[in-house]
Amino acid sequence: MRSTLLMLLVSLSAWAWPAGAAEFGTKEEAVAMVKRVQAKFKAEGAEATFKAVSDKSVPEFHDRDLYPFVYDMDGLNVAHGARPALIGKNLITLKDQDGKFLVRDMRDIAKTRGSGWYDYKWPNPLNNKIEDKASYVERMGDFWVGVGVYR
Amino acid sequence: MTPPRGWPILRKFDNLSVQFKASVASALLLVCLLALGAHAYLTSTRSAAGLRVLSTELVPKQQAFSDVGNAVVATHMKIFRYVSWASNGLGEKVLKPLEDEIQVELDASSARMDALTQRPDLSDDETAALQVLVAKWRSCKAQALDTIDVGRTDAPMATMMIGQTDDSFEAVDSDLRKMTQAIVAKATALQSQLSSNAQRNQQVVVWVTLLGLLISVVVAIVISRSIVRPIRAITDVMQRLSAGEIDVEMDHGVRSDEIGKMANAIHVFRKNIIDKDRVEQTLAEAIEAITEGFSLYDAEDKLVVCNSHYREMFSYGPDTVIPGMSFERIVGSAVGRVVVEGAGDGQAWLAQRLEQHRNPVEPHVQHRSDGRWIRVSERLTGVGGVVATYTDITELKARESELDAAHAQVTALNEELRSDNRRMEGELDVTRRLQMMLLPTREELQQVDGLEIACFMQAALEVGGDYYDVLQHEGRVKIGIGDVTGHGLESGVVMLMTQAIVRALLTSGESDPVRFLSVLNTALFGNVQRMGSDKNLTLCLLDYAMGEVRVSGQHEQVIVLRRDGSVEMIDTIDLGFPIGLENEIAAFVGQSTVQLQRGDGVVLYTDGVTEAEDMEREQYGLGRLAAVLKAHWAGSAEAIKHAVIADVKRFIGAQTVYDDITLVVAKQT
Repeated sequence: MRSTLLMLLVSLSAWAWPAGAAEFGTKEEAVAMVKRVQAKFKAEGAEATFKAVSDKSVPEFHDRDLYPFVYDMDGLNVAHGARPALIGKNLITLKDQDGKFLVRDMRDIAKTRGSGWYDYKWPNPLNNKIEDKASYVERMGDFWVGVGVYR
Repeated sequence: MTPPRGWPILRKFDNLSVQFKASVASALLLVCLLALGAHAYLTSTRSAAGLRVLSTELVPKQQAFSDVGNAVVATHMKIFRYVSWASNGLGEKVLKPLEDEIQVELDASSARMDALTQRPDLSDDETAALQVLVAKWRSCKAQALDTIDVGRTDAPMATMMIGQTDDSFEAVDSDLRKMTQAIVAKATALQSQLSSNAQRNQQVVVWVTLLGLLISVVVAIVISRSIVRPIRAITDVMQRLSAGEIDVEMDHGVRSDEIGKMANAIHVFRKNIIDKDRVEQTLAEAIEAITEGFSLYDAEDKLVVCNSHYREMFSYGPDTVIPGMSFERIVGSAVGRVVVEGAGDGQAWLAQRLEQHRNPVEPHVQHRSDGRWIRVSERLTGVGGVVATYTDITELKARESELDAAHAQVTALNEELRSDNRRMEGELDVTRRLQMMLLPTREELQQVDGLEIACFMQAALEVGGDYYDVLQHEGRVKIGIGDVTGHGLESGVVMLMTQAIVRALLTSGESDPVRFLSVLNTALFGNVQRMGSDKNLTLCLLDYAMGEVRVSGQHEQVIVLRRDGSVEMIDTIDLGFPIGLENEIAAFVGQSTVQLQRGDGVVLYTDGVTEAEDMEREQYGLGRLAAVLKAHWAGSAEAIKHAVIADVKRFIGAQTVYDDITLVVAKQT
């Protein structure tokens, strides 16, 4: 009950945030976006959700530097909000500049804990520079979904 | 030959044949050579196999693996270049050919990878490693393609992805390097093995060569010791033998090889020489020992051998008769010194002598002037030579003349003997006549009262000295029978004297048998002594009066026959003693008395009857005599006498009558 309320609150607050109010998205917004993906996944199924996530014209899932990404449990990318080239690619062995197996690690968080935050480096879609990023991931059926913030 | 020296172990080789030793030595060297050859062949085969593995397997394999590695690295570089170019915003014009190039190279590497897995020379480890590698390569290739694909539109992301691509390529490259290194390590191991093989091969060759050398040295020593040295010794012995040295010491029967056989053969040869010498020596001694002169000339008439008697026959120095001289020379020089009777002037005799010598026919006799007689006996030998014996027969000649004289004497004696014999024959005749002359007449016998008497006497060829008599004086009848020892005139005379004395005593009226025999004996003994003779006689006297017979004196048994044919015997051994042997015999004389009834009777005989022999020299015997008497006793005395004499003569048959036969049958009427 409480979580439902919180979820609703978060969702409303995100919605209430006026576009362009800040240059970058916040962690809360990132979590809210994950929840939206989850809601759509629940409501419309995997295919519609993945399509919407990968479609940059869907504002619900593309807000400044915020975007969701969805992988299956093997590390195969099934949907990406910023880099459609990755869709269909298995990135389980992908490393960032620090040598972190970020896909695998986030898969493990989603798999073992259900949800959590993970820090790594990733190119910012706004400037294509590799920046520090913290992503919130959650398990979603046979998949997991994440949304991160650049710092 | 020196006694065997050196190591005893080498002496053992002496009993092996030289051929065997040579064969063994060759075989040993051959074995060395074969071992060397076989070793070289095997080693080179192994080396060749190793090199082949090295050159046809390991090196190409290593090459193939490193080729793949190089290609993978090159492709990796190109991917990196692609991402780099993409990040720098180069357009599709530039990127597309590179992408195509990368695509081609990735496929080529895949093909090469597949080709590697298809290699037939892979080990199990390599096959397993390759399977892992191919799997890695597949993900690596996928990642590379993903990176290119991303890079085409999203360079920053491709840059992100280059890290994992690097890892994949690194893994593949590392695996390939490891495999290549393993192959290189294998090749290196093989190389070092080949190298150590070569070294060992070297050592084997050196050692086997040394062994061969050692064998050669040992063989040389053995051959020198057991062949060369003994042969040298044997050669030395042979040289000394051929130089005439006989007492050469040498070993034989020590070894059983060819050299041992040579030594044995030489030993036998030497022994034969010694034996031959000994035989010649013995022959010479034998020839010398002959008591005659002996010589042997060869076909060329040269003296081969002679003895000292032969030399002596020629009566001059030994140096003039020596082997090698011709007979003509020896005999020629003898002419003038050895004078042979009838040799005349010498030359003619010499020619005749040479002719005799060359064609010997029969022995001839030389009468030497020194008085010696020599018989020369020559004979041709089978090989054309002449062997001669010179026998000194001087002694023989002397014996011959002695014999001639003896013969003349014997002839003369024979003449004498012949006349003596005639005289003796006359004597025997006289004796026989004397014996018969004094026998009682038939008329005298018929006059005896109470007794029917038949007598028989036959003298042997030489008169035997039998005696019998029947005398009657003043109613007393005396029957005597006796046998003088020996034959001939003396026996006859003793018998005559006995008859005379018996008649004299009877006539003198002597009636006591003991005194009668005793006086008879003493008288006869005196006469026999005077005659210087050893004659004596057995004598039995029967005194008959009125059917009573008194027997005394020692002679054969007296047979008493009864009218019914039964037979009794009176042994006279204890009734007297041989007459004329001793001076006094009275102590020995006894008497035995027999009563005769009508038809009874007594029979007297000498040993001429009982000891008469038949053709098988069996004696007639008392048994036969008694049987005949018994069978014919029923007849008259004369008939009984005839039956006995006829039976005895039939028994004697053609056998000689050795002794006088005398029989007296007196039957009571």
